[in-house]
Order: sequence, then structure tokens, then C-alpha cells
Amino acid sequence: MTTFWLAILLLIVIALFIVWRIFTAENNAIGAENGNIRQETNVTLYHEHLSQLEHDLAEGSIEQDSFLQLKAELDKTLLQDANASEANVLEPQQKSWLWPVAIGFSIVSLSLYSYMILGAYPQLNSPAAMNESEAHSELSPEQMLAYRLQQLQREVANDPSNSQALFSLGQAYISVGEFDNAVEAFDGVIAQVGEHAELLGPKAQAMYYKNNQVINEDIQLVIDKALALDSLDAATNILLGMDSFSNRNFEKAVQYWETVLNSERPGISKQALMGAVEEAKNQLRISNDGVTSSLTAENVDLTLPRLTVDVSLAPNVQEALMDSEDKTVFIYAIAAEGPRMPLAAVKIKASDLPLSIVLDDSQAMTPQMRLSSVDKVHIYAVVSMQGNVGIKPGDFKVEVLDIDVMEKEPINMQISVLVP
Amino acid sequence: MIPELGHFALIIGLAFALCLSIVPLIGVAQNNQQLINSAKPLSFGLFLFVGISICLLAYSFTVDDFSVKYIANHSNSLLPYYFKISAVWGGHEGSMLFWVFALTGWTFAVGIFSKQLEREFVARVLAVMGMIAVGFILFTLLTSNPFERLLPNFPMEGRDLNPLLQDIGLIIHPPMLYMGYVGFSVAFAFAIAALMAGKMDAAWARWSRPWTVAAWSFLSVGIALGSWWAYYELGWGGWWFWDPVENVSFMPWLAGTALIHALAVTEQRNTFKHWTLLLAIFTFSLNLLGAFLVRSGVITSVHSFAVDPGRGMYLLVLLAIAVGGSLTLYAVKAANVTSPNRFTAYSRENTILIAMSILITATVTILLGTLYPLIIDAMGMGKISVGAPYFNAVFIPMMIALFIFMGIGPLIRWKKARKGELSKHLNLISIFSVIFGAAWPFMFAGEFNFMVFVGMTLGCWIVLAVLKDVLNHAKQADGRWKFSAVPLNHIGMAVAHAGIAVTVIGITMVSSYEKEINVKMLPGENVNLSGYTIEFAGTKNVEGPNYSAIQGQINVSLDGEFVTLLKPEQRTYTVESMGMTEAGIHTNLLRDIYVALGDPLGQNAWSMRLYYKPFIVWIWLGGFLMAIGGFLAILSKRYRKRVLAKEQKSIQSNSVVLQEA
Repeated sequence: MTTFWLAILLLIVIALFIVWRIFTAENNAIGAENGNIRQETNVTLYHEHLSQLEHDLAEGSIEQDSFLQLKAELDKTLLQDANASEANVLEPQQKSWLWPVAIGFSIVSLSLYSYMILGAYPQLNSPAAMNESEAHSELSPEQMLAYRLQQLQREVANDPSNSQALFSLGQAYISVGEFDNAVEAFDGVIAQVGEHAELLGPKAQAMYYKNNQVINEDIQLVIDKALALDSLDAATNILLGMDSFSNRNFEKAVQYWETVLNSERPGISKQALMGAVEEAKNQLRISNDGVTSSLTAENVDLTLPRLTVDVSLAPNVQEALMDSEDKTVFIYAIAAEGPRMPLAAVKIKASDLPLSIVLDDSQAMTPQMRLSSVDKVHIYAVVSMQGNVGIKPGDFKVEVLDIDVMEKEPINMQISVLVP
Repeated sequence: MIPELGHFALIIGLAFALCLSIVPLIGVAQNNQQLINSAKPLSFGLFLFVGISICLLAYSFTVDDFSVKYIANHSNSLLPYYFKISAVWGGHEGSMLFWVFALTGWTFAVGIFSKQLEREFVARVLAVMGMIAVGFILFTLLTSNPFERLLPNFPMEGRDLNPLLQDIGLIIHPPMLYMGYVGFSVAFAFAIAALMAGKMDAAWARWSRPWTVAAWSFLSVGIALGSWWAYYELGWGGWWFWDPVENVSFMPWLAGTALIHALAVTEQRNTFKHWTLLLAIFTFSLNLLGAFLVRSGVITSVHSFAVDPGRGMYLLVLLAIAVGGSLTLYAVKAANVTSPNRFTAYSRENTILIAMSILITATVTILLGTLYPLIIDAMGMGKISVGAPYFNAVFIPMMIALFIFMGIGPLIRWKKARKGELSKHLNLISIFSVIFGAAWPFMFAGEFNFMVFVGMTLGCWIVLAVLKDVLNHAKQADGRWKFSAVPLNHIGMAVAHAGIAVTVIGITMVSSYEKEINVKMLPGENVNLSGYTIEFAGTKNVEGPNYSAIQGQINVSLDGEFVTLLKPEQRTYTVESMGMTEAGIHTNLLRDIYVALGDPLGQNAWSMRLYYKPFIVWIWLGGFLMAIGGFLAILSKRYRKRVLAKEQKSIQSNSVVLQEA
């Protein structure tokens, strides 16, 4: 604290020194020493312009009479400016020390007073902040966690109704392995704000870890509740993915995690999830023991369906989209008969159109429901205004019905219809 | 502790600004030399303390002090140090502090480099600058304080800088732009000081010219850099989008361009004083309006910062005070400013008048296109969008007219052109330009293209006109050539005009001949793009300091000869888990090859955007030429000439002239 006030004092001293120079400095005069500089500049300009005119006249690029006219105008201008620019004669005055003192006093008092109102110096006293910058770099990750936990505990103790802090506390408890406390914290939040999927998911996670990573009935109950409230809840789906992974059901794990990735929810670590998906796919490849899975097919098998779709935007749609943000376009195929779940789907940006797209088994959402499992499909291309799946009013779409899945010719789809 | 000291330094800066805006004016009113001279130390104090403040903020960034809210929101311990420093102006609060810093820098510069100016005038200019500084420092402290703390509970890690802004373009683009914006407040302060004194003479124009040209040059570079940044960073190959935020930087540029020409006429011919005064006020107001639009959350775009009605309200009030105050002063003081000098229709005055009118019309047109959707929206009359079609449709014809007069301007005489003289200068140039413009599309593409014809003709016309002008000045009466006789300010003008021509040629070529291919590519596949063979050799994973990326390997070859390997990237930033497209670009004077990775399409296939952009680099080269021209003009020695003894003498002889007149 002393250092801080010493530094403040130093700044004030510098400020006062600058102000003092108003009184002492010999050569801080602004502008010219010569009080009649304006007049002189005008005269200089007059001569500059006159010599240019004389030069032009000598070269023959202006005639004698326009020379005279221009010169007359120059003379008039100079006369006008000269009348206007009578210089004030500054009387050499005794330097007064009153002004520098007044200016210095106002600067110091105004600055200190404003800082008392705006500054955060009182908080510098609090112990948490005192060692901030030093503590910061030297803490190990574990110490940081413990420190963060302490902070949150203090925050919750100060204000038990702070549900945000309580929720963060629950998550911090999970990170340090105190699962009972975590469950308690999440229950506390639920008691405050009601049952929400984003609270139930973390709670299920905490219970799952506590139960040595096995889903029991209690946990299943919480999971079901969470999914009923929000089938795309990130924490719940991540948990289900982990469980599937540890049971070596890699295909399922990929499915759960990709659900989370595709949900585009904020606050999820995409990179970690993508890594996990990659790992699960690797495991899948190994466990399939060389059998090429649909997800990793490298070679095109001609006996499998492979629909080429040329998607483009009709001019009216293009115009409608021109000035808005880039929209998401879904191109997907559903079975001509049977459930309306997409068999293959591709998500692109409207700005990428026109584009040629291939629909095949690799884009299937589940191994049971893929292009090769049906004979005929309907294909839809939808520009989604909201950026999520399904056709909603305001979207643009085009559909092609009853296409043979083995169709080899490219299918032309121009998105043109506004969904009413 | 350090951020608190920065905060305190900024507050001391405010106190200095307050004193600066009051004390020198008292000095002028009381004819007190000591108080008039106090303007210099006060402006130094203002500059020093705001400088200390911004340095301490930068220091806090480098040591990752996340207890400062602004740093927690715009930095991260993984961020490379140069981005940590550029993050100082990467968000709203910090960029306001930078704005204030640039303003105080200009103020101090005026204090230092005005040894040859009348002292009362300089005192008034500095006082006006002080008032502007008070307005902006208060705005920063009260609504956008970069030193706001998150105490006692502060985050362990920062949220990271927006990946779009982690780029060399961001390091230099905003400072240049702010130097330009703020520079025009010097022109404004000169105009207000002249109004206060009631002295709007040739000397005033001569004194404000270098400052105005400097501001204009900075703004030109700033806009060019912004356009370049958008081109390579946003990943869809465009260089100008008529985005509202681009428009608010372009409007002051157009108005400022008109202003530097009005100043030239005021100095040379003692007329257009009202134009000069009003344009100085108008340009400055456009800067304030720009700040309001960008920072109040009224418009949303890459540039708009937080939505905060309080900020918007403050800036509106500031705008109202500045515009209302200066126009009132204008109404009171400028009523009896007249000029005895007349000019005819065939004169340089009239050519510049037409050009300025076109520039102002263009500014107002853009203003309308930018504000109209906002007004309609605010009145609850639905949403309309005014986009590129509107701006191109109204802007291009105006610019064609402007460029025609741009060629005439330097070659026509003041007051009254001699009959036949203009056509003597221009006939050959016009014929050559038209032939060149007509032949160019055949040479380049083998077929006629009207827009290319117009663009190339005008570009050629502007260049030949300034070239002719320089030659006219270099030719001596005895027929010898003497290029050292051409004044530097004249060369500056020629270079800046040529810069416009270069930009026009770039725009013409790229908009008429660019090629775009969107394609799905598998490793090993080739695509032909305007004669170039683009081969997708596959992808590899690369790790940056705070992101990981998939990098495409694209071989570009021409007629079987390898040209370059382009490496477009799809980056994922660790902290924000935000995706970013980094384009791969190969540039030379004649064309750019531009490759951006789209989405993966499975089985190692990628959607890819390929562009061939002829002459695109000319657009920005032109911008830099304009700025170089501006700086050459400032270096002209007539702005530094001391009043010599010889001229002292001529003053006496001059009084004879005055008596005769």
C-alpha cells in the first residue's frame, strides 16, 4: 500500500513540475517571437503568389490584362487581410506565481478527488488481491484450483442466494474430486432456480463419478429427467458418451459427442470433444479389426448408393440472402417411405453455393438408418434462417421426390421456394 | 497496483485538459503572455499523462493482469506478446484510450511545430484541442473505462482476443485510422480558432494546410489497411463491403478531400472561406458521428463494440455540443466574411468547386444510405437493407464525373482560362486516354468491356494530366527542363492524384475480370483457374501458439511451372473455440491467387473457394501513394520557411503597394 501511495505522489510531483514550468521556463513560448507574424505570413504569401504570376507572364502562359486583374485581386486581398490582422502588442508582464499555483492546486485536487470516486484503491487492500500478480504465475494448476475453490466458497458464504456462484462452486468441486459436495451444490441451485437440464446434467456427472463411473438407477433417473427437459443438453450427452466409451461402445460414444458438437451450444470445449470423437473413431477402427467401417470408408464402393446433388440458389433467393448474414444450408435425404429421419445430411454455408455435394452412407446418423438401407429417397435442400434443422416458415427450400438411391446422374436442385 | 496508477494518470490527464481548455483563452482575453504561453506545458502534461496511462495499460496486458476487466475480456496468457500489446486497442475501452492518446499527441505536436504561427492563434487552437480532449477523456472515464477492475474476485484466465483481430493488419490499421480521425480535429480546431479571432485570412489557410493534409494522409493509409485486412482475413476475397463501419471512415475521407482543396483555394485565391470553415466542421462532425454509430451499438458488424445506450447518449450530446457550438460561432462570426475575388466558369476555382460539390454529394449519399435503414428501423417501420447495389449505382457515376474534373483541375488556370489553352493541354491527353482505354480490354481479355474502357480511360487521363502539369512546371522559359524547379507540394499533389488513378485501375480490373470457383476437391485433384493449375495436395495439422489448425497444401503452377505453395488454414482458437478461416494468398503486381478452405466434406475432400484477382493490390498501392503524396506536400519547404530579413524589408516596400491600392 505504501508503494502505491508513493507512486501516486510521484505522479503528482511530475504534474506539479510541469505546471511550475509555466512560471520558470524561458523558452516555452508558443508561436513566433515576432508579434506580427500573421501580417508577415500574409505578405510572404502575397509575394509568393505575385512571383508565380510574374513567372507565368514571362512564360507567356497568361496575358498582360489577366496578369493585371490577378495582381489587383492580390493587392486587395492583402489589404483586407492586413486590416484584419492588426497584431495585439503583448506587454511584457511580470510573471506572476499566482497562476501556476492555482493551476497546480486545481490539477492535484481535481485528480485526487476524481480518483477517490472512480478508482479501485480500496479493493487493493483485500488480501485476495494483494498477491494477485505475484501469486498468479507461480501457482501450480492444483493450487490454482484450490484457490479458485476458496474464492467461490467465500463468495457463496457472503451471498448464499448467488446461484451462479453456487453452480460454479459445484463444478469446482467436481474438478477437485469432492463429488458429494458437488451434488449438494447443484441441488442447492436446483432448489433456488428449479429443475433445468443444464443443472441436472452436471449433477448426473457428479453422481456418475462418485459411483465409480457406473450408471445406476438413481443416475439414470436424473439423466432421463435432463434429457426430457432438453435432449441436446451438453453435460448429459457428454456423460452418456463417456459411459458408452468406457463400455467400449465407440459408435454410440461418437454419436453422443457429435450431438453435442453439432448442437453449437456455448461453453463447450469443442477441441477436447473433437479429440474424444477422433479417439473413439480410432478405437472403432481397431475393434472392427480391419473391417472398413462406414465412418472411415476411403474407397468408393460402386455397389453402394452415391447421390451427386448440384445445389444452387435461385436468383430471387440469392438476392434475399445478399444483405443478411451467411445462412446455413442443409441438404439431406429421407426415406420415401418410413420414418422421416435423415439418412444422409450435409451442412454447408449459403455463401458456398453453388456446390456439388455427394450424399452417401458416410453421412448417416445411425448405422441402421442409411441410404443403402432403402430404395427410394426424397432429397431436400433448405436454407435455414435460424440455422437449425427442420423446415420453418421463412426458410427457402427445394425438394426432389422419389429418387432411386442408386441414381448415378447428378441431381440438379435450385433452392427457390419460400416456405410460407 | 499498476492499473490503478494508469487510471490515476488518465485522471491527471483530464485535469490538464481542463486547464488547457480554459487558461490560454483567459490569457488571450487578458492579453497575458504568461497564460498564453502556459498552453505549451499544459499540452505537454496532457500528452505525458495520457501516454503514461496507455503504457501502464499495455504493461498490465503483458503481465496478464486479469483483475482488469478489459484485459480479462480481451487477452489471454497464451496470446503472443505482440497481440497482447495490440489488444490495447482491440476492444472498445482500450481503443477509446488510444483515441485520446492520439488526440493528445496531435495537440502536443501542434504546440511544438507552431513556432512560425501567431501565438494567440496557437493558444486558441490548443485550447480547442483541450476541449475536445476533455470530452473524450470524460467519455472514456465515465462510460468506457479500460481500468475498471474485477476485484476482489478476478478470473484466472482471460477470454482471449477475438481471433479475427489477431493479425498484423489489426496491429497497424486502427492506429493509422485513429491518427486520421483525430487529425481532422486539428483542422477543426484551426477553423474554430480562426472564427474566434474573426481572422480568416490567407495565413490561416497556409497554417492549417499541412495539418489537414497530414490527417488526410493517415486516414488514407488507415482505410487502405482496413480494406486489405478485410480482404485477407475475412476469407471471402472482398475488399470493400459498404459496411456501415467502412462508410463512417469513408465519409470523413471524402469530406476531408474536399477540405484540403478548399484550403488550397482559400490560400491561393482568398475565396471559398465559407467552404473551408464548414467543411472543417462537417468533417469533424462526421468523425464524431462515426464514433457514435460504431460505439453505441446502433449498428452491428465486425467492428461494433458493446451495446450500451449510455455511451450512445453521451456521444450524441458531445456531437450536439460540437456541431451546435461551432455552427453558432460560425453564424455569429463568419457573416461578414466576403471575398472580392471573382472567377469565371472556365477557371480552376470553378473546377475545384464542381469537384467539391461532387465529393459532398457523394458523402451525403453515403450518409443517407448508412443512416436511412437505422431511422426506418428506429421508427418501427420495418427493416430495410441498403447494400452494395445502392452504393455502386449512385457512387460510380458520381466518381466518373469527379475523375473527369480531376484531370482538368491541375491544368486549368486560376480565375479565367485563356481560350484554347485548355484544349492545347488536354486534346492529346484525352485522345490517348480514350484509345488506351478502348484498347486495354482487347489486350487483356480479347473482347470489349464498357466498364473497363471507362475505368482505364479515366485512370490514364488522371495520370497523364498530372504528368503534363509536372512537365509544364519543369519546363523553363528558355526551353530547358529543370525538374528541381517543380515545388515539392506540387509533386505531392501529382503523386496523390496518381494514387487515385492507381486505385481506380485496380478497382476496375478486379471487379471486371476476377474469377471465383467454389469446388469440392479431393487430394491430388486439379482445378484450372484463369490459366493457373491449382492442385490440392492434401492437408496437414499445424499448431499455433493459441490455436490448432488444419492447413491445406495447395500447389499453384502456370504452364507446368511451379509458382507457389499456398497454405490456407481452418483454425480453431483454443479459448474461444472459435473457427477462423485463414486464406492462402500469392500476390504480385498483376494478380492475386487466393485460396480459402471451406468445410470438410468427408473422405478427405474439402470444399474450397478459389479466386483469381487481377490488379487487386493496386487498390491499396493507390492508397499508399495518396498518403505519400500528402506527406511530400507537407515536407514542402514553404511550410517551414522562416520570415527572412529580405522579406522583412519587402514589408516596407509593400506598404507602398497598399497605399497605391
